[in-house]
Amino acid sequence: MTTTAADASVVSEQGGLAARWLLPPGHATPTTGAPLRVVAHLAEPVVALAEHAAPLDGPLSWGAYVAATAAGLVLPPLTRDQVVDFRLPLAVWAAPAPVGAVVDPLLLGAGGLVWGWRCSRAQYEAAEHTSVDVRRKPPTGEMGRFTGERKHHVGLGPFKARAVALPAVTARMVWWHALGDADGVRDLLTHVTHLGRHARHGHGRVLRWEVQADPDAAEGWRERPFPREGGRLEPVRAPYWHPSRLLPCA
Amino acid sequence: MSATTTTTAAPTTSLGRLHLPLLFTLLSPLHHGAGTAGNTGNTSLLRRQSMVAPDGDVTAQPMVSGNSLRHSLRSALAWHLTRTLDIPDGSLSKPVVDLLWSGGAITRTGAQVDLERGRHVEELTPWLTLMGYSAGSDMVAGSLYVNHAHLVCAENAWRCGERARALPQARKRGGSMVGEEFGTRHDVAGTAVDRLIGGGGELLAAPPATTQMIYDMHVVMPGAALDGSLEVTAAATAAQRAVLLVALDEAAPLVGGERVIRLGAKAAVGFGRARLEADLTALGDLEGARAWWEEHLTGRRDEVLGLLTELVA
Repeated sequence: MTTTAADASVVSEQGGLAARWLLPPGHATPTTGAPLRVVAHLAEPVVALAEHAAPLDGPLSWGAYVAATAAGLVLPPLTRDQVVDFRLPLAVWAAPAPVGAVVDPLLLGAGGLVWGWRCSRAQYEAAEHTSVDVRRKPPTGEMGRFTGERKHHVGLGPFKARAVALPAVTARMVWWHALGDADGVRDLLTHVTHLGRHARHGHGRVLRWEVQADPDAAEGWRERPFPREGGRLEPVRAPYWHPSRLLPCA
Repeated sequence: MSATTTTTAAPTTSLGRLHLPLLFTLLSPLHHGAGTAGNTGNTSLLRRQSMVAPDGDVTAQPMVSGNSLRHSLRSALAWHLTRTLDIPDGSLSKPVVDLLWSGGAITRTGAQVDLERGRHVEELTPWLTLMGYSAGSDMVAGSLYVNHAHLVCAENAWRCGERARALPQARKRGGSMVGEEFGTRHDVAGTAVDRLIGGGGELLAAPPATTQMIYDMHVVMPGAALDGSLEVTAAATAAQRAVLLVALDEAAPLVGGERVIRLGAKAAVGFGRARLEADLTALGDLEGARAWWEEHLTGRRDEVLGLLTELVA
């Protein structure tokens, strides 16, 4: 395969974007930042908020993903064995992996330590723990016209009708404590319009973000899962759903 | 990151994040059901959402779900595609129809990501990458967020857009804009029509059970307004925005100089007609977008249909 000048230019441009937006694997080292309180003022209940710790690096990574993609960065596919860490404007913690724990190499940073971002879990005062419905109606009328099929069973198979009830939290706001750069956090949060699951259906809409200095965050960011021997398996950094992120935590 | 990945990717055009306010004014009663008719006799209740008001009170007001509005846009694009490509009746498979109108479904397991096909989907069928879809073992999130449309009322004013907050309805309680409608279905027994449907005559052991009924539903009254919005991420391409513009024009066509859309249930019997006010110029030039999209579809008809079939295989 020959490489053209245009190819080389694209590779070079992509290399620059990757350097700007992504952390090289295994290079995270502990850092510090300004103590911040980050508040999301909500317009809608958030789906599955109570089921997850939802630390701030989750939404920030989403914001970084949108910003990086908009800038033209083409990310490698997310697979079981491949995941990226965005360069977030937050400080980093590092700790030894719990003794005996199975640690995915993707989780390790400098010195073979497990690392994560210095930010707390999502905190809120729930006015109500409720549920929201997500419905899916099969297009049986259109199937009748545009296919030659004789029947469609609405209760069976991948194209069945669904009415799924999902847990949700009704709250005025969600807040986090973090150590980081306030302007950088604000920039990334402009791309974060919703929190939680089923956001594309309007759930978890954020009315506005507020990022301000808060001395309480100097210690408050520690309100989050940390690796602990014998603890429950929990993810320690974004993307929180990725299996490589799991460690015994307390 | 491999060189292969970087050199063969389609470029992404960044136009920044877009927030598009939608203001609906009801021209006929709206019923968007809560799915509770089974528990409330023959009365269908309105779907409501509870939320904390600024004073700390929890209030539950009628709304139209973002999921429902999103389906209106997806369905509008599906009908537009079948019309533009003159798709013959009976010529599509069930999975393709489901992909077009409902976004498809995961039908098998698999961990391999087909990057080449992903680029084809964006190039040939940008409405799928705009709305999101599932097919085979792929689940792809769209670049469009469709927010719930909330009743413009005193309880919801704090979360409404600027234009909605300025409406007189924003000072009235939500309860004052909710009413009731009913419908009937008459039994034909004993009417002139009866003789046409007898069929069994004296062979019937018993006359058929009556089909007469009266049904009742809670509605949001005509004249009430709903405040909604769309969010398009900064990662959305120019093609996706153009397709969204066509979707809005199809779902809410101009009728007598204003855009009219159907919201909620029982649209076929006149419910849910609403005037839509939205500044679509934020998405670009409508005529240009429509011309480009229709030319793209007709010019690459076989490729588009081939890709849809391949996606669900």
